[in-house]
Amino acid sequence: MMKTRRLMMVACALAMGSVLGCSTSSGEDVDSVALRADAQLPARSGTVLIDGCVIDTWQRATLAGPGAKRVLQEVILLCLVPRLDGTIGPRDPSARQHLAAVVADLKQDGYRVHFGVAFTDESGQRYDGAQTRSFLADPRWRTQFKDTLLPALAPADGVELDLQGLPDDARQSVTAFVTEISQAVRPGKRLGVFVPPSVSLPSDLPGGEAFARAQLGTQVDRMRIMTLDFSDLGPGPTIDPGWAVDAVRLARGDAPAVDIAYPLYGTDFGPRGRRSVTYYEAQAVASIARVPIERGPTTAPFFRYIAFGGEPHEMWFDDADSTGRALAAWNHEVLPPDVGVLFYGLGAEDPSLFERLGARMP
Amino acid sequence: MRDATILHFCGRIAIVGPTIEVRSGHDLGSARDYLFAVPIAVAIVCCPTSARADIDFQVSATAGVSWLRSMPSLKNPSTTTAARVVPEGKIPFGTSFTGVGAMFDMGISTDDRWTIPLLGFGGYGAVGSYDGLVTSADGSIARLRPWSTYEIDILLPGLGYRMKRRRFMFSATLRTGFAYVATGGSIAGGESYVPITATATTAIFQAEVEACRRLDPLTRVCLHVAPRIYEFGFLNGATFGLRVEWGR
Repeated sequence: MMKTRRLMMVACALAMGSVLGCSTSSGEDVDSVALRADAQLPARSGTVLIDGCVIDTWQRATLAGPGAKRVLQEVILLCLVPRLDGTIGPRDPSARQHLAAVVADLKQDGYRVHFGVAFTDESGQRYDGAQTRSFLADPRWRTQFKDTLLPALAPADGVELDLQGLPDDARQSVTAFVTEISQAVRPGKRLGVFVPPSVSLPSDLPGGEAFARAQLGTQVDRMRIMTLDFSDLGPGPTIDPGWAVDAVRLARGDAPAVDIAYPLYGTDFGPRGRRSVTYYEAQAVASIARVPIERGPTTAPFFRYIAFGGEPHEMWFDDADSTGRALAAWNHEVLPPDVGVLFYGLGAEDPSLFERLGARMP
Repeated sequence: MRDATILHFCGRIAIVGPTIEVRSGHDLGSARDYLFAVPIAVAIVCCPTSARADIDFQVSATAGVSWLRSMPSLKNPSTTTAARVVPEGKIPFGTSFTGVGAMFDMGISTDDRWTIPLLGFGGYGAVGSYDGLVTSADGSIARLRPWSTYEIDILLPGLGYRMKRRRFMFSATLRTGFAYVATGGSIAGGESYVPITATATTAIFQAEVEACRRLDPLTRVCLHVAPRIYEFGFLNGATFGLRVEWGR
């Protein structure tokens, strides 16, 4: 009997232990099988955007590397700008010559090269939405744009239109403008358009209704859904991978060929607003401020620091780990294989990014 | 069917089950038989018996370990985060699970050879130190907390064979059932996250093997091992532990 009671006591103790819980957190995080750093990434077409006409040595070295060549097939130089009369710049012969040389150089490495058109003034500031709308509504401006675009595109494989901040009532003008450009450049060159990342109908974004995706989808070869700057009101990650999925799914309902955008830059949030930062800048600030870098809920790194004048700042950015996790989370059940990835802002990324992503490409 | 009698057993009052004999159909239909059959059936279900007959009732309590080689993908509920509504779906898990807990079981044996386990309930909580698991839910980043995992087993009838050698008994049984596992976690939405409980349910098909030593005429202590032939996959787990059994 005593033996039985002892056994019962042991059994009860084990049962109580299981109920009360005798397990603990190690304090570390590991990735699930699909998200592991050595797991294969879902195959997708890759495009990278360079903000400018000039490729610096860092960017050139990255693009020449085997990792980038495995991940990327297309380079967009966000370089062309329309003047007030619709003329596309740069028009200087030396600038055109330089651009042609850059394109030839990239093509030698196997990349397709597109020129992006940014609607900025001569100082580099974006036209406000009302002004861009007035441009697009003017048939003479559109004709001048079209006529000067074609020679500027000569060395490139295609063109991308980066229209931002438009009011909703610019919808007809945007559709007419893209249709005219499409008729002018296709099929000899490819045409793409950058579209706001709406996640609902009607659009949840200011100006989101300016883009009639269903009509635009028939006029362009690819629609780039700009799933960037998720945290535009307060500190937070530059992208939320789940939100980006919703934006792309909505767009795919109207146009089958879409890209999801992934930021290579980070964002510094302060009392005077926000600004874009590079990976190295983020690392340097954290090091100088002697603050630890944490990971947010999406696994994007971030830290808080006190900047000049005692201003509190918060910096969020991405590294190879957080980018790799997001790309792995976008498996083919979540986003079909024909959805491409547009990496935005070459030069601001974690320097190991493309080598690590390239090693995981199928 | 002889009447049930009440005896003192192990220092307490217990209803001792009757010897059950097979009778012809018209006898079983009588009101008198039903009058006796009901309390007898209750007695059989509730208590261990010292019946001298071909059918004996068995109950057991097991303290032990449940191990799953690979946790299945868990079902997440539809969740509203700061960024989106994450639909109900599957969250990949993939790591192993080890839990400690207890199982209570009842069954019958016939002819002192055949065993028919009837119904069992088991509960196991995670034991050990676990890393947090970063995974995904419909494209959103999710986290699971493996240290919060628990498993509930409901074991259904099966069939087994046992043999006795002096004080020792050996048995092997095939058995069916269901298992339910649940794990706490969260789904990210921008700079915040929403807690969730992710769950999975599966059918079980297991083999039970045990070696027992008799402590007294009605009590045995056993080493119990039950490889799960199917549990979220083939040969994906096992339970094992120390079992105390009551019954002949």
